[in-house]
Amino acid sequence: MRYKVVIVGGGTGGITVAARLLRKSKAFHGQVVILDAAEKHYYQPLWTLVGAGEVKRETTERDESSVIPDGAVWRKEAIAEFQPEENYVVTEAGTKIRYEYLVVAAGIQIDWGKVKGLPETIGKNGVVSNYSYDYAESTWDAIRNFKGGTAIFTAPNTPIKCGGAPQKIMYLAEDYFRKAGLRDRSKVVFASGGTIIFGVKKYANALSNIVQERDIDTEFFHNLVEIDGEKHEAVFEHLKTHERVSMHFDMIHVVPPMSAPDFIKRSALADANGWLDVNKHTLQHPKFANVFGIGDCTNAPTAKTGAAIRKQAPVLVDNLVAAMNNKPLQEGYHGYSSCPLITGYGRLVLAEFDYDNNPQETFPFDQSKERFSMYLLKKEVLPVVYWDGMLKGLM
Amino acid sequence: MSLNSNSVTMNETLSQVLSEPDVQSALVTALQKLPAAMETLTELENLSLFAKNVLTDKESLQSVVSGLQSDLPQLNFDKESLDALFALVNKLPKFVELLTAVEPMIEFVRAVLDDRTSLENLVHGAQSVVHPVTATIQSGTELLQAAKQRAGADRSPVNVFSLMKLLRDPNVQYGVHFVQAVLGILQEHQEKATRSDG
Repeated sequence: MRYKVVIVGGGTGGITVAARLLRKSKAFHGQVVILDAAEKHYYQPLWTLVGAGEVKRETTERDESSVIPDGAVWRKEAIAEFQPEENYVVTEAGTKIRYEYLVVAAGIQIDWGKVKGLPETIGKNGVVSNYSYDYAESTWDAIRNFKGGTAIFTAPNTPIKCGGAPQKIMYLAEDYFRKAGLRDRSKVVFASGGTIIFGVKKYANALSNIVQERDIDTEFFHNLVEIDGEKHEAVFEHLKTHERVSMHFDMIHVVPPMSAPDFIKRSALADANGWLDVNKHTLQHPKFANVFGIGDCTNAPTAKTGAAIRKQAPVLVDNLVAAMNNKPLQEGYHGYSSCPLITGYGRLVLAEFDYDNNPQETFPFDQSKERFSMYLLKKEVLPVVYWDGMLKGLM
Repeated sequence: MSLNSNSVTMNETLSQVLSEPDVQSALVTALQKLPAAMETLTELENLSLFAKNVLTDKESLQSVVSGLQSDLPQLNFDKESLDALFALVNKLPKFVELLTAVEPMIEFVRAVLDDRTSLENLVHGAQSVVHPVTATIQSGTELLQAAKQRAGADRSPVNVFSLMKLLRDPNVQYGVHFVQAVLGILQEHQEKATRSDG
């Protein structure tokens, strides 16, 4: 079996690239195959608001079949291995699929098991997480049933999708506790394996002020390594001193460690850290010229967000077509990413920045200020832009 | 030179040309293709005859022209139209650029309108934003209506004691404080204005 273009992954990156390719030329009809075994497609940016009780989780889910663009071939199979030297991939079902060009849009792998005790207790005992469709509602249960005590919000020391998400749910929970009259009986802790509150100075300043005003304790260099749900105890490793620090919690929102998917790690396409190796400006693989990568699975040093994919997709598609026509590639992606930082119910700081952490703001006002309009943008407008613009290859 | 001598020279030239292998080969090819060429020629001849027949057939021509006149809008094709046509052609690259930019937006709007789930979510979202405001207005209106009815029905006399009781209400106290504060600020402004005039 042979196709002109094989796209590994039917998530945001894979579908956007397929839609754009098919829109570019009718010649691609029937020549583009999307490999993905998933039956459902999720708009994950809203999971924070599912965890905060603002959005029903069902609104974030659609059938995968409904987002496959017309003209693309969908093979419901998971990838098992890459053979880039011989231009084929093998699926878990053992199907060998040959290609002329390969686009890897495999997303990111969530390593729940890397925190000892987490898989056994997630969704129970006040241990919750928005990083899964199955558990996002448990976050809302924990927040609304909180009676005071210690609420911990963690962030790992690995790259994660949507780096702002660990904080967003913390600000929302703190806001809820305040409105419920529980704030004076509560301690809110941000325990992060990172070193700073945010990578872009302009927004970091705004967030530092918010953390201070709302009396949130920050514990940086603290990486969650173990959790005992029944005892309500979380164990962190201090990344400088390597000491183990135990903290009691009444509720804890866990952001699990993440890494590149295993099938990329063990392939010739991976860099030393296991991520898909790409030129950060052209998105082409440095060794295999007919291989391109997009989104969370790549080693492009940008924040892993859907907004980054929105800017990467047109560059990748133009370069893929240029490669097919033996034309030079454009270094068109400069690391744009966006993080709508929800700082409370009806409040949002819209961070937009590039590879050099310089703000790249869209709106003609200071986006580091909390705004209701930006909250509405995130909650009401961006999902429509996603389903009907991005996934259709239009935006 | 006589006619006979001319013919002899032509014959000699012709036999010289025909003796060349390239020419012989070309002649063979031409002869091979002759049937097909004749076929094409016949078709052209038929077409030409058909055109001639049509042009001489006044009834058919009249029917075609009147049909076109009724189907097509009135065209006043003069120099002005021609200039406009050339101007339009000149601007076509720009139009194509603009249309290419606008096309995704049009298709996006179409996709949103076709997407029932997105539309339902948008309507639901808009309702959740608008509801608190409309609910407040509604409850305010109801409050005023109820107060109006009760005041209209109350025939009891207003005396000093009822006024003193009213003054103890926190809302009335806030209102009085507010009025006092407004009067104080107004007086300050007035004094400042008088000083600057002086």
